[in-house]
Amino acid sequence: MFYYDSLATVYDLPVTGGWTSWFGTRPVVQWNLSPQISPASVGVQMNQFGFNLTGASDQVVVVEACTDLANPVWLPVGTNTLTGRLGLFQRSAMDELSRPLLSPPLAMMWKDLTGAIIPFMSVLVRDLQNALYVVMDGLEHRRCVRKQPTVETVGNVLKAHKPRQGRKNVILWSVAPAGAYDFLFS
Amino acid sequence: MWCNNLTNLIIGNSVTNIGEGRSKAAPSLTSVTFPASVASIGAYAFYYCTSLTGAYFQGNAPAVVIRMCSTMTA
Repeated sequence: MFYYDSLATVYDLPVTGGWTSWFGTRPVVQWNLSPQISPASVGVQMNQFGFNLTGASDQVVVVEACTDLANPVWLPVGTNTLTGRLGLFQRSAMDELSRPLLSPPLAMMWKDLTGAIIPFMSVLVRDLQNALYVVMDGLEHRRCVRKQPTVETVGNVLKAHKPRQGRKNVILWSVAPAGAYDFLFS
Repeated sequence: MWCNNLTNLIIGNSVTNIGEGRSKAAPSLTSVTFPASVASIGAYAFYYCTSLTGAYFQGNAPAVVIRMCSTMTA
């Protein structure tokens, strides 16, 4: 097959079998389907932080978090296998993340099994009273009644600083593409 | 039969076999996606799709079926 299709490349998924380096007359390479987080799904609902993630079927995704940005130790807080053609990952983070969320710095990043960081554009910010949170998806979730956090981007890492008692605390950071981001409040 | 305007083709999940297709060509086709349900593809399927750059398979490698015909001429 693919006769006279000299430009064609055949892509196969990592979890499938029977593939060799050539399929008929065309080369075979691995189809890199990076999981994608639906921005509109990121947020807190019923006191649970979650998001929808789509990717290849049977792909395993690990969520890691750490609480010390100065000496980050990344620990998995959730693992899920995407099922179906479009996988769904709805992670309840209340148990695992409520404690670090309420203390200074929390950092989270999403990786796939290859260790590659899954870029996303969401940051969750909460104060000690859970009075505010911000999701960096451009959606407005709750009014900020205090000072706005400030944001800085270092490489592909985005940090959010929330002024408190005259000092800046990094309360959460998140892997995100470098670029300009704005907090939006309703 | 030529499908001149076909650029992207996503084959339905219920399809299990794709025939020879020697008489069909889609010179504008750039990508085709095969569901995991496709188990076999005719040897001359996607013949002369000269713009095709990506063939995406969501399942295991399908068998390529070559039909032998006693009346076939070169």
